[in-house]
Amino acid sequence: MEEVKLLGKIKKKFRKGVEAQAKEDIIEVKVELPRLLELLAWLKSKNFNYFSFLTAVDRKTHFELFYHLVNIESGEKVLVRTEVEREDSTVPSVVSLWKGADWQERETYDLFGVTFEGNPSLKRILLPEDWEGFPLRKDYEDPDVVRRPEYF
Amino acid sequence: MNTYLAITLWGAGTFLFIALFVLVLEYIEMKLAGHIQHRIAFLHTGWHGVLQPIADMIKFLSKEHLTPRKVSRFIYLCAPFVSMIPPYLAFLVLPLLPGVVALRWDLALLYVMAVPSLAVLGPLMAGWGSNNKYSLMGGLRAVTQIVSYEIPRLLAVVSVIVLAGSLDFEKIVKAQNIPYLIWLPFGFLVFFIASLMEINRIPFDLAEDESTLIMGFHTEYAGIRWGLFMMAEYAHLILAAFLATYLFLSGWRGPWIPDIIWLFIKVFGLIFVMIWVRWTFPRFRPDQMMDFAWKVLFPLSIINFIWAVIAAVVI
Amino acid sequence: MSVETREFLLNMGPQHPSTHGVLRLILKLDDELVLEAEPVIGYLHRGVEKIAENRTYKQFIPHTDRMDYLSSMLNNWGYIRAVEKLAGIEVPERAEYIRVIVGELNRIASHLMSIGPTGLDAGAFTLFLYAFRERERILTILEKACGARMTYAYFRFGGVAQDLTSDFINACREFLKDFPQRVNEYEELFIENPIFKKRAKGVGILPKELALSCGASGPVLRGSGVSRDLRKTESYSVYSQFDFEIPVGESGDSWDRTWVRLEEMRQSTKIIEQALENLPEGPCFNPDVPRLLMPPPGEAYAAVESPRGEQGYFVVSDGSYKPYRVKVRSPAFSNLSLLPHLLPGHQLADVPIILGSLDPVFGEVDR
Repeated sequence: MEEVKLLGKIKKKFRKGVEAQAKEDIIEVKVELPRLLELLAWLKSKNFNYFSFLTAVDRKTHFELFYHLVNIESGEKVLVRTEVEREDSTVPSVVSLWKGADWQERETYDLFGVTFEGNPSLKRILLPEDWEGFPLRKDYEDPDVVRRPEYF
Repeated sequence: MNTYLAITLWGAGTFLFIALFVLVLEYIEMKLAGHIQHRIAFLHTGWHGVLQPIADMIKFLSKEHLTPRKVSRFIYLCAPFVSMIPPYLAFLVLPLLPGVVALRWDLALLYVMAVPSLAVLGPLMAGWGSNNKYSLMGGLRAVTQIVSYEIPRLLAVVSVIVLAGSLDFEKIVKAQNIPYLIWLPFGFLVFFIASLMEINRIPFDLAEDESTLIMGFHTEYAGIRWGLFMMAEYAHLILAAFLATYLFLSGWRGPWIPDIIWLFIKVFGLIFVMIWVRWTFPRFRPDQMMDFAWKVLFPLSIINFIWAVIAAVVI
Repeated sequence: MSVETREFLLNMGPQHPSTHGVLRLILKLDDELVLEAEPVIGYLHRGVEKIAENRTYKQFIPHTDRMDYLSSMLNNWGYIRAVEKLAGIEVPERAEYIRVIVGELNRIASHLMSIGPTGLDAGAFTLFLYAFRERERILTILEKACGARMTYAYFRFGGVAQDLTSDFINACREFLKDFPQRVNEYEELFIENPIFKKRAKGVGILPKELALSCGASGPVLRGSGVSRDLRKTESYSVYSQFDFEIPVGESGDSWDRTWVRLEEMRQSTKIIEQALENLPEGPCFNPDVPRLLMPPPGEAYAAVESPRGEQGYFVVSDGSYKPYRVKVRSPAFSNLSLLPHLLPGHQLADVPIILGSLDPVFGEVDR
């Protein structure tokens, strides 16, 4: 199967710092931050030219970034995940590889505060420019927000 | 009677006639638009909305005159009048009923071609004086558009003059034993399309391009000031319909039915077609419209003119 | 004396008749030519992803309706698919057929709402009202299914909320009888209209590489010649049992994108006819799904083909009754990121046409 071949290629090329496994219809690759750009550039060269989305999840001690890429011709999908520090986190930007990463990185910066080094215009996109704080973090406090009571 | 008094009365009468016609035209256009779009427009004011234009007039007259800050006051305030008065002046020499005309003049057609063109200043003044980038763009587009249509239209009219041998409307109508539509089909087409361009109607209404320019050059006008622009547009429309009828469709002449009814059938027929076209087609882009005027209409009108000259010599 | 020309900034502000919603476009113009375009979005941001972290899984379903409010059924479907994948829930066949029927009806309604305003922007008012006439009929039919006309919340985990009545099925068949004629009418009146062809052909040409690089999907991507439709590539639900085609454009200009939408309406009609004929009997939801769903910890991503493109939901669960994180992969957001690359070099009058052919819905762009 295509997935297994790709899995094999990844394992061969990136021995250290990368773990890959094939789930139902997608290949998940866990990579460490220093090798992230290398892995993504390698995937782009393997024809993964469709940049689906980039998002972050706040795991309380660190952030986890997810990149979802698709190879249109073969239909393979790859989910790249990496862990990033919460404070002062800088991640290399992939705008040079995929143009669509521009807005997705701005959104992740806007909502989480992850800085992308190399993004030409890293400013807030969804929230007003003068907003303070990063709302999607788990420890975000806003005096205007009313907490619902926990029911269960 | 004192000639000045006579002229004033005639003038006022013409103005009232046209003003009434404009109100009727507004009703017709909105009703027709409704039926084309598969809905019924106006039902409640009077029987099937007959009193709606009067209600609209009252609405326009009673709206607040919001003047934006920093407009060039004189230009801003004069623009609606500059837009409205020229077409009304043109009606003074046009026989509105067979044989009934305010001012009989041998150079009537020349006057009717020249004076309404002054109305190009209206959108330009409105666009500049409104202190609004959208209005400015609308005004600029209007000027380029009007300049483009002038020549083909003029050539089409000149071809009629060559065949009829006169600039007076009654003589032109008398000369049409067969309507000039048959002799000069391209001329009629060129004249009709160029008239649509003049009055800023779809498919050529980029000066008031609602989607890009909000209301184009009349964005900043409210109430009766906007009403004056609308009256100007409708007056141009009526003028174009009358001119086309006199020049190409043999005016009020026709068998069996009395002249005046023929006149109104023809005029309203053309108005119906203009309204129909407005609600059916999308609009042109400015540069495509200019292309069309210079590369299609202009050559066509020249061919038409040469054909008219040949026909005049032969007949 | 020489005449100096200057470039100026035109702000097609958040309130504008033709920006299809709240979009602010800052255009740098040189007379009528666009030199640079910068879209500013976020006017409709409601923090939906944060809200998801404070609702139960079921309580979040109405929130998904309100993102791409023109195709609510398909939004519901994306989210439900993701959670069903995470929790391993099975869906009975009748429910899948019902989902396909209402999903495709919603797709037709959404495409009508896209072609209509494109006509309005181009100046053809009548087409806009005709499209709305058809859309009214569809919304009335969908009201028979679930009681709501626009934001349905009809889908549930493991099926749909309630079964289809015979009233719905008859109304649907009636509608499908004369809808193909109307589509032909729109084609003749508008798509094949020489004036619209002049306005839209060659305008906003989207090269394939740029489309893929920006993550464009749906009619925007298919207009550029890439034949990618999730209903065929992933064949989720029961789409593999239907016979339909994917219209693909050739040159990637605005006309192609609008034409692709028109053709998709025809294909959707085919799918609904087939689905209505072969509708199986059975339950319309899975009775084993607990009332309070607590999926096992993990992540799942599932996408559906919405009228705007690939709408995906990335759901992260930590085992509790609330989702830990829901990320909405919005197709209109990715499509809109094409604007700064597409607009320069075009005239100001082309901007509404290009924007209309990209068909953004700002509920989804801003979330």
